[in-house]
Amino acid sequence: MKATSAGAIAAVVALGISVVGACSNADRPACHPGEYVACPCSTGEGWAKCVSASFGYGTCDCSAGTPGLDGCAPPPSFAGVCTANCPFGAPCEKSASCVTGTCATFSNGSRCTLPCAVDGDCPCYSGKCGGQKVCKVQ
Amino acid sequence: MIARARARGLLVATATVASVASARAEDAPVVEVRVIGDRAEALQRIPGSGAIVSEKEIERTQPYDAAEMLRRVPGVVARQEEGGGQRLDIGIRGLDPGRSRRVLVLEDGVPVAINPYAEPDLYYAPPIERMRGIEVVKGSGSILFGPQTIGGVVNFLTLRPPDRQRAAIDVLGGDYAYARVLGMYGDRVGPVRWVVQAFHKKGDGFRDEAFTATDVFGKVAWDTSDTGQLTLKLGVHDDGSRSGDVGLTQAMFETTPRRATIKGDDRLTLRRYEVSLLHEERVGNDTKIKTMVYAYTTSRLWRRQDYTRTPISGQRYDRVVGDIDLPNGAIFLARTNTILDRTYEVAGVEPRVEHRFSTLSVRHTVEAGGRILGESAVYQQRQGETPTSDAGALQLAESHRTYAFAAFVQDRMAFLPTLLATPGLRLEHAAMRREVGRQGGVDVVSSGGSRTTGVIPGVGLTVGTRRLHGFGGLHVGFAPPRVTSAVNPKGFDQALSPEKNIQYEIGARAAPEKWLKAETTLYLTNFQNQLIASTDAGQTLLVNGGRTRHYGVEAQSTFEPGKLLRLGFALDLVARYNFSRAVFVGGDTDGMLLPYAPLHTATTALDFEHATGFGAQVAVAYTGRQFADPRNTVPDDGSGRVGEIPAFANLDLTARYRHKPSGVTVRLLVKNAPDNLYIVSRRPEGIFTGGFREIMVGLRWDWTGKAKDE
Repeated sequence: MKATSAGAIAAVVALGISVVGACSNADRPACHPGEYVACPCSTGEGWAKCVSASFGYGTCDCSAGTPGLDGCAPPPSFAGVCTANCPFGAPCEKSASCVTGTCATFSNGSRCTLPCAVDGDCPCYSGKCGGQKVCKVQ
Repeated sequence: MIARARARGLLVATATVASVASARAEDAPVVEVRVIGDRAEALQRIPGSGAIVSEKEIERTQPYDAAEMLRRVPGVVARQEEGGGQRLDIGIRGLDPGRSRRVLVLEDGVPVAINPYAEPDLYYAPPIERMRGIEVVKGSGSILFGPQTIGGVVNFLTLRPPDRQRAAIDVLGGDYAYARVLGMYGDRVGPVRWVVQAFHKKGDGFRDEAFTATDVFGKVAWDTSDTGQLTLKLGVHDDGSRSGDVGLTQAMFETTPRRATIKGDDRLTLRRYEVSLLHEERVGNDTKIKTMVYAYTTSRLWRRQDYTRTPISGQRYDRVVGDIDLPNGAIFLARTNTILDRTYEVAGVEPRVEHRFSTLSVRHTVEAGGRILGESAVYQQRQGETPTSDAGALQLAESHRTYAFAAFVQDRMAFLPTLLATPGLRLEHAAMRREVGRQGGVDVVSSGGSRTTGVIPGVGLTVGTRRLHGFGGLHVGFAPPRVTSAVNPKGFDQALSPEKNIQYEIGARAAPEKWLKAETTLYLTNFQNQLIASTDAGQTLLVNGGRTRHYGVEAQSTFEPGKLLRLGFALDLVARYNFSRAVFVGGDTDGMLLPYAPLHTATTALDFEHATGFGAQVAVAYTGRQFADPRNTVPDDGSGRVGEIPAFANLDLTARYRHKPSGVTVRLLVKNAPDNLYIVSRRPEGIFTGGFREIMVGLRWDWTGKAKDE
């Protein structure tokens, strides 16, 4: 084979690879309309809704609770001490048992809670960031 | 005039065949473990049905992954789920293909599953780039291998060390930023032959599930004496992919089926090291002793963002995807993740002896051997505080180990050259132990064990010549229960039975002319006990599921009009069809189809190959409708997890030109040419689509040195 024809083949293939390889996922939408992303607020946390695939998410609504949850539902009730994968508000004995990572003592016993800086860091039914910088559990 | 034209046609036809053969010049064989073999009558000699995917078929197809070749085997369902072919889901004769856990997958005879006894999942998928062929045995021939004999055996054959200098460089690129670079070099130095191959590939994946894979393996074969040969194989494989466990909801699939993965922070990384040594010694003309020693370790880290479909107040979420106004229509992604960090180790030694002798007028070929295997696994599950954490707080720690012993004997008795009977027996014994050191973030001390023994008889019968023969057989299928199911976290033996079935088959193969071959098999499999997935308290566990029945027919034919009509080029048409009805027997789901068991599958491939170097292939694969649950629920439940999986078809095109003087091959591949959108799975959680249309262009350079004198 002549070196020129081998070079030509290689050039054609390289061009083909570069042209075909240009088709990728670059045209993904910024977001999917109707979906939500959590966003920081000065008072804690809010939610931004996807406006359109090209525009992306709208402004952060700092008064909104978790989309799909109506208002502020009462905390779930628990029977006995929870020992593993315990959600917020569950009676606990050690922090490792809590999915929130923190077990703190309140007037109604030890409960899984969250570290917080401001009230907005806390679930709406807690509402308060306590003096020890953990969310209060009612 | 006519005679001259015929002679010219014959000459061209001969030249075509010769040129095709020279492009794939065969190297002398080396010692290796085969489940079927190379000899022309190999399929006739195995006790039952089997199939070989040849090097020629792989070359012509230029497959994207191993599944693309395996779905062409009658009776096999192979799912293509992820870009890059990093995972492999194989089901045989109506068995659930999930992570190929019911099929014994071997690479050069060495098990591939992360723990063949305790966790026979195929997280490492043998890369098709390593392979020169695939053997599939579904009948009683599978009792020579194990421990799984309920579905069948798939043996991948890797490249063979050449007997002269060979080198290759291969570059492939295409849509979705797919790129692959491969290099191979092999040679012979005196009695030593060796080959090394390395490749790296990467891509964005169809759904922004970016992947990379690097694979290096080498094989050395040398003659230890005039009657002995040794093969050493070493391999390293490393891959990583953005691999989420949650698919699309039904509404997402209907409105935005091509959307990117909803769990873009999930990632699965896997690394595997392997070594195997195979020695064969011939003693006289009638005895061969083959000993294989192997070890491999697999480490897998899979981080997965936590999520729920039923949010609760007080939990903090990162994103809400889907439609919150539809039942099961939204997925709430948490700000935490779960990290599954696992390491598996396997080591085994397998001696086997083949001895031929005669008693009266019966010619015997006895194959007997055993295996001692040890395996272990270390699990850690950690809770990460961000969706991208690879660290996290330890929630669960456990380990398990298995010591297993197996022995087998099989006698192929040739009463006549046209009448073979092959009875065999396999014994499997496994002792498993599980130790849990931490659970739910709390240290615990619990351990326990379980023992399983299986006696696996089988017999096969072949009657006829190479050109036309019938075969039949029956054997017991056996698979030990997974250790995490057999021993509960408190260390108690759950008394789960091993999976057992009885498989019957009868079939015929015909090759009346060089241009025509056909094969058909009828089969019936009765499971006495099949383990099924059951969800209890939010955990999916395997439980004794009871009886199931699988029956069907497999058919395959190869028609080569290029040879028949002496067209001067190769024109091969291969068609395969499988009808498989796998149903529950008794209980609430009596008569219902098993999940992921399509009634109909079919494939066809038309190949063209000309002496000038041009070649092309058109391949179609059809998969009938399936159900995702034992109740065969047709309507979707909104989440994407339950509902019918409609039938779908793939159309793949390949064109290539090989410039023989230079050894340069150019190829164009179009996978899923019509760009069909279809559901390939509703597991683990929601809808996963098949690959979209992908166009790739490749360049390969092969170089072969002159044969060296002995």
